[in-house]
Formats: sequence, structure tokens, C-alpha cells
Amino acid sequence: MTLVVLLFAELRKKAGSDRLILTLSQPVTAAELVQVVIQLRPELNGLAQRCSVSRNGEIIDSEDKINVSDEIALLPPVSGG
Amino acid sequence: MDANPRIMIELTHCPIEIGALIEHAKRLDCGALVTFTGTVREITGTHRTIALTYEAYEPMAKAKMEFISNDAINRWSLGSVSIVHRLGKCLPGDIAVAVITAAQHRSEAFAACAWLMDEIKRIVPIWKENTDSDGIANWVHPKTNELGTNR
Repeated sequence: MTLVVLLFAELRKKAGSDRLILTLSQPVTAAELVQVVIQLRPELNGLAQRCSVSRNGEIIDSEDKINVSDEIALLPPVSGG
Repeated sequence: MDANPRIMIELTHCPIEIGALIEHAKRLDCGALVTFTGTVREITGTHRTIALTYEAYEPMAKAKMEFISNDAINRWSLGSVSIVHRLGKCLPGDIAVAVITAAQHRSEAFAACAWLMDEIKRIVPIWKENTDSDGIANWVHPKTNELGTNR
């Protein structure tokens, strides 16, 4: 399955793109997704591990599953205001 | 308090017109209107900021701001909540964020405004990049991530 992962701020800057397109052989949890991202793009290690995963605009837990139809984003610690 | 509290949420690339926002937030059943404006600080100790550039995960940021606005209305019986946050490049002195709360009395309006600003900084997906006087730009990411936590 193909999954689009949205990236923001420093993560976007390091990746050189506002999204990653992952090809997965099976569904993954949020925690597994972060590991797949780090394997694919080792330069994102560190900050990626401090990110929250959002699914359709809501933060999910590390064991929550991700579906191919979900809008997924990796959200670094925020700094608005 | 009125059964129809008003909420105004905006993410904008344009300068924040605070006077117009205050006028919009006024209500005849509210005697207290508290306005917080966060401005771009140029001097922090020995460091000088020449710009802050804001970015948001816009649909989620708007949804979170609406969620915390409704929460604040329920906690403090507010008449209105207005939250406007800048996106893009802001210069020293620019208003980066404005929060206005309207309530019957000042204690509720003050408390709600402070709480909303804390929540914006804690769980709304907005980020800033600081450009210093050497032209070096760094995204600001606090050590702790409270995005998925409740209060």
C-alpha cells in the first residue's frame, strides 16, 4: 500500500519536501510508521522520534493502526505564539 | 451568559488589525473584553531576531483552535472568543497572535484568555522559524511534545 506522510517545520526542511510517499507491504501502527520513516530517511532520526503522529487531524497513540485512506502527518513539538 | 457564544478563528498571512478584532469581539451582554497580543521580540538576551516565519498544519490547527475555544466557553461562560494567528514572515514588533475573550466580568475573561494562549502554545500545530541577525534560520521545537495530552 502507498501512504502519504505530511511533514512540517524542521522535519520538512531536513527532508527537502513537505511529504514522504511510503510503500508498505502491510498496515502499520504509528510507532512502526516512525521507524519506517527513519529507515527510509535516516537524516530525520532524532526529531522524528520526538514527533506525534496525527491521523485525519487527531493525535493517535503509538499502537494505533494507520489505514491507506488516512491523512497522516508527523508533527514536531509545536512553537506557535 | 448568552446561549449563542461567538467564535472567530483565523490563520492569516496579512497583518493583524487588532482594533477591528476588538470591535468584532464586543458584546452588549459582556462587560469584560480581554485582549492578548503576542508580538515578535527582537532582543532576547544577546540574541537578535530579524524575523519569525510561521507555518501551520492548517486544517488541524483551525480545528484545535475551535476545540479549545469551545472548551473555554464552557469553562468560563464566555460570550465570545477570537483567535487569530499569523502565518509566513513576521518582523520584530509585528503581532504574531491575538486572543480576545469576552465575558460578563473580568475574572473569567482574564483566566480564559491566559488559558487559551497556553493551550495554543501547547497543542495547536503551528511552528516558527527564527532568523537571527547573521541570517541563520532555525525552526523552534521545544524539548517536550505535549501535542497528544489533555489538561
